[in-house]
Amino acid sequence: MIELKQVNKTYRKDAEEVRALADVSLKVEAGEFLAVVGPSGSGKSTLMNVLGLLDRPDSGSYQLDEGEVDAFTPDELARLRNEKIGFVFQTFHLLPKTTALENVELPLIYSSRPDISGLGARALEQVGLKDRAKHLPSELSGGQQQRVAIARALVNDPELILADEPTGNLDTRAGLEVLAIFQELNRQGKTVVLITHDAAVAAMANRVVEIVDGRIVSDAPVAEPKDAARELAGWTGNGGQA
Amino acid sequence: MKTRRLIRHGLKGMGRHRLRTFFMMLGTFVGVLALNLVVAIGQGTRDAVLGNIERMFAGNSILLSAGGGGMMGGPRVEGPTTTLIMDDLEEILRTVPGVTVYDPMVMAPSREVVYQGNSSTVRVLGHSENHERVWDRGVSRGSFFGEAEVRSSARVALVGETLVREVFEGADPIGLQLRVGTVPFEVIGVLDSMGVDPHGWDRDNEVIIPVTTMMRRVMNIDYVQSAKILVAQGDDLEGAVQAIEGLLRERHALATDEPDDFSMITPVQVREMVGSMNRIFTLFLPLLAGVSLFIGGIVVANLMLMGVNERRSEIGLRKAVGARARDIWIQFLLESSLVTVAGGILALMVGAVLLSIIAMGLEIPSVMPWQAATLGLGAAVAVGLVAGVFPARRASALDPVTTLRE
Repeated sequence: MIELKQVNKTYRKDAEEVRALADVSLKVEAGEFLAVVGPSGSGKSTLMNVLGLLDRPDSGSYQLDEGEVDAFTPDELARLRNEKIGFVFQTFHLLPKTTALENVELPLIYSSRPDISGLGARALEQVGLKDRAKHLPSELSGGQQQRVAIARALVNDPELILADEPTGNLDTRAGLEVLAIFQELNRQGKTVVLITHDAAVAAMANRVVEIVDGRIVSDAPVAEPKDAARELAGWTGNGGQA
Repeated sequence: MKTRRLIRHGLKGMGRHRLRTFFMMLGTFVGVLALNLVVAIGQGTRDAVLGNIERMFAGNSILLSAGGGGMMGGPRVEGPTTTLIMDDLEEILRTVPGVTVYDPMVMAPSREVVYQGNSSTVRVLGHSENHERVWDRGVSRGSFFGEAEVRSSARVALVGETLVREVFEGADPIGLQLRVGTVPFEVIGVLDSMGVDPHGWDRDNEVIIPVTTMMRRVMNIDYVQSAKILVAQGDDLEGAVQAIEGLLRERHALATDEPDDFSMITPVQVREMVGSMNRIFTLFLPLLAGVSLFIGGIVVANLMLMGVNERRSEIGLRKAVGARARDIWIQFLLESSLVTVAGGILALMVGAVLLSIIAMGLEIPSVMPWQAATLGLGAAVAVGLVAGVFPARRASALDPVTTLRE
């Protein structure tokens, strides 16, 4: 469970102060699929960095599973990121010259789990890339690279998946494949927070929060979320490729 | 468990940046090799040089040379060098208290010697029968010439081992006729082998003949170039030096404002010289090697920094997936020290090979001393750590929020 209360975050960009988050209060229950939408520069990414424990708010409170985040040391935050959160980025952030499997296993290096064997292969299987384990990122398509990145986010079995424009660099078909994976993960009980500026992508979530100039301007459940897998099946493939 | 994972992961990562790893290794390699060679050769040379000097200046001795000015490192000889004669030396022995024996020397740096069509260019030295006692160098075969031969300017010669090998082709030279320039000599002995001296002379490529023969028949001069004078143990060496100076100035009729036309070195001065030589070997040369190691370290540090800059987003990602600042720090420090240790070990191996080659060529005892090996490896580790700390710190301090957005 995630709860933000009156969270503020201000950046100093050159001489100008940018208020990235202004009195943001947000509660995300376990098992939700939340989309955060808003124009670029609205504070979406800052919200994700705060939720992902990469950045600390200037003021306000952030409760993660009953713990107040502000009280944790940097090392404890690193451990929480490792165990509870999986990140998916727009630009994938895979290590070059490193196989898909080794990329997936990266978080395990920093894990205190005693036994990590087989976890990487299992995560790759979850995203349908078991047969690409030995491939380098440069040998994979964009969609496949993003699925490797999702496998990396899953490998430590986190409760929360944070995805920042995960379909931004993908064509429609690959984007739908990625979204289908998120929906499946959500059905299996993972909390998914997806940041996007694309309304069609947000329509896959159970709930959409809109943020403008650092403020939440709307927060509503989606009556009938679209099913990415079904869209994919009905998709004729005009101009797109996997 | 976790550290082992980190190390294994770090080792794999090194292979992914082959070019950078190679140049980092090269930087350490050159530095450690230089340090290693300098220390090993320096030690070997110092031992050889000090051994020779000990032998030259054993006991209470004075080295007297014709010509004023300094010697061995001082300004070059000034004034006439033709004024020191045998009678001067005889008078020193007779009148200066404590002086027990002397050995004059006249040297021709390169003369042609011929034996049955084999010729070679050697150093020819004229000495007295006291040479054996004064310089502690005798013969290994045959016998040294005596007072009678010196008095009669006999044409007898002692030859070094190099000559035996090259001119006599290994045959026993005793009794054979050797021509020095145009003068024929009978070989009566083979000199003790001494190898190469600190000045680079092959002391086995020498011929020693009576000093009188040298002056009259070979050089046609009536003066000597230098002499080594022994003073009895326990006698006042400084007093002897002053007495000799007074005596020679008087005999050479030098006015009070004229400088000496001779110079003397005593073990006291030599000890000072050895001290400064020691400083060169133990301080200056390693310092020079240290500079190359330092530059190697800078190369490593720069390449590491480049690596950190290139891998900003990788570092951000690692932090996002749970790496603590310490984990990043360890990773980069591990990379730099592994690479430099590898470079250091490589340098030690190449150094050992080079040293044995050099040792063969220079005839100096320079098997790699364990000090040099330990120092080299220690230096490599130190370079790795010192050159790695700053880049690693910079890497671990990177903010994932900004690096991930790049």
